[in-house]
Amino acid sequence: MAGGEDGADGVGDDTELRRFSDVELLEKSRRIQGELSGGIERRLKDRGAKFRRLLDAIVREIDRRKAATDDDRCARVVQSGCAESSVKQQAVTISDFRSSFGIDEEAGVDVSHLETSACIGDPKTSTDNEGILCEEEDSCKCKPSTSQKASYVDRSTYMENIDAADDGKDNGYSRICKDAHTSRKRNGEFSPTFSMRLRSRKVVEEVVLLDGDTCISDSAEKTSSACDAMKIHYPSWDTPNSIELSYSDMKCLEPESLLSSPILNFYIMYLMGQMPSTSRLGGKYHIFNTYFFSKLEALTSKVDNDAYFLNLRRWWKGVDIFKKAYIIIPVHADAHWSLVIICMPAKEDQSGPTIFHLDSLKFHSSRFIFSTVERFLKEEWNYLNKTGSLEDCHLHESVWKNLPRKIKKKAVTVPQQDNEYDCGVFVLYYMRRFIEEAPERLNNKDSSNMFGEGWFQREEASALRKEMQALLLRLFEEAKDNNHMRDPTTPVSATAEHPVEVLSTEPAVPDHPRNAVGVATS
Amino acid sequence: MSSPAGEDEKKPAGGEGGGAHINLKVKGQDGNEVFFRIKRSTQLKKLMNAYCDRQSVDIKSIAFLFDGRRLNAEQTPDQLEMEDGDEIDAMLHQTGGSLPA
Repeated sequence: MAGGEDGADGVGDDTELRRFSDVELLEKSRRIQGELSGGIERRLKDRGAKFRRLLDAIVREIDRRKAATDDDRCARVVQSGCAESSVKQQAVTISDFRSSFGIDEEAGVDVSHLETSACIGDPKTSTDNEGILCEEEDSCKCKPSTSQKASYVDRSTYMENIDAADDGKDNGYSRICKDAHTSRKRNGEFSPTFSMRLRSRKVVEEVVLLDGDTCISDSAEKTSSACDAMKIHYPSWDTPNSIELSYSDMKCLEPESLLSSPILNFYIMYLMGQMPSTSRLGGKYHIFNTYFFSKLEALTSKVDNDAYFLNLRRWWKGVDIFKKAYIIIPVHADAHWSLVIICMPAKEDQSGPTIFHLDSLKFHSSRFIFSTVERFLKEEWNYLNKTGSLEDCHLHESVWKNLPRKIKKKAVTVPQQDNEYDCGVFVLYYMRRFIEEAPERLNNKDSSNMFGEGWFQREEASALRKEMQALLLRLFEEAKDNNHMRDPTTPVSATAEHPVEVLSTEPAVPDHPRNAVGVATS
Repeated sequence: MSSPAGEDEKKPAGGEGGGAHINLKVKGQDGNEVFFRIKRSTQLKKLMNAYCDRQSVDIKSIAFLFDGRRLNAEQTPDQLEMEDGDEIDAMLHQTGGSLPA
């Protein structure tokens, strides 16, 4: 899945492989070997050379890690100190958070050591039943600062595991090595201090206090150039579902690049806007964004399914899934895009809903995708059965009563990509062609005529990349001309054809002075 | 078959837990959760920046979603009618081409 010379999944060199875990690297190498032995090189222009290069790079990286683990035994534990004494710390009670997030003593979140005071006076020690000792530093050594921003100091400690081989016996303890020279400063965050208790099973969750007027470090927002920093909102700033795009997002539309989710979500929104108003207002389609499928996947692994599903239902709040003619779900898994289309039958039709899976490489497991989407339909049916009445039903009565058994699944043959980078483009083109051609309701006869290898020429799909690039360039140009990097809070007049708003990432000048710790004066 | 009246409606901002501050939870794809206490009138970019700082990730590589809708940095909890204890999803941008390696 290379973008150009980048290797099979856009990973160009050994350094880029370092972001993957050991398990991921092994899985990648196993998968590449499987693909190569399966004869995939015959379908690729370079005869699989990129895959072989990547395989070599993975082997080198695994060897490098093995060598590195012999040298490095220190795991780092960062301990937060207190905020500056001049900053007023906000107290947060344990009961506040317990009630807000439904946390109790049995939950996996330990809030019992949340300190509401700004500083802890005495060093403490606490031992876990697994014999791990942890010592707390006195965190009250903060000095007033003349800095414009509130800051606190992290006192860093290193935890060194004592190996049985090193001292002749395995006593199960850890030695804490304090490093006096590694204190770091972080700007502008308020954080309650936590006891540094090391536990094997419970995860200590942080609670971060953000004061509305406090300066937060914008380091995360730094951009390379003014052009890259330019942003637009499509279709407009005040549309609830608007898509925010920066100029740099367009890089993935360059030749042989891999399409990213912001671009797919933009084009989904664009397609919705291009639909005839009858189908849009009549509610013929519902298209989920690219993140939805990963939330659906999680549904299968949740212990508390009901609570998770209730929360997930907010993703289609106000939409009656079974009333729609078509539900479209982009699928992202294993760095590949494919598409699911759910077709709901007409009320007089006694056949059930059909789940279609369209894959430009037949790479994704249709069986897994079908079971995930089927689970979604069954859960929604279950929920509506408990809360609704049959008078509101948009399916045939016999279909509705037996819906879980009536769902049909079809992995359809569609035009295939002949390269390593166009699956995202194909997914969008499948979507577009389907929306253009689909009847009011799709029946079995229609579906067999609609799809197939000859549905369209693959060049038509590949051409969509340039089309999207031209569209976005036009939108950015229009936005720049119309609004001239206007502040987002200022109302703007959008063009009739493409109502779009541009944003500058330049920070707004505060309209009142700030005091020494970055809090607005009253 | 439609959901019962008000089933999905949110409580007004001034209702229960309707003080100046609100407790929000940001959940990563790995299940990791970070809790934030934020003013209802504070722009969410403060929360986004703080989360990305703590997770050591580039803010441009993350999409923050509330009820499936991507958040804009300039929005506030009040504008989105967020309630105490609401959950924000932090999702990594997805990239795909063809055969995963």
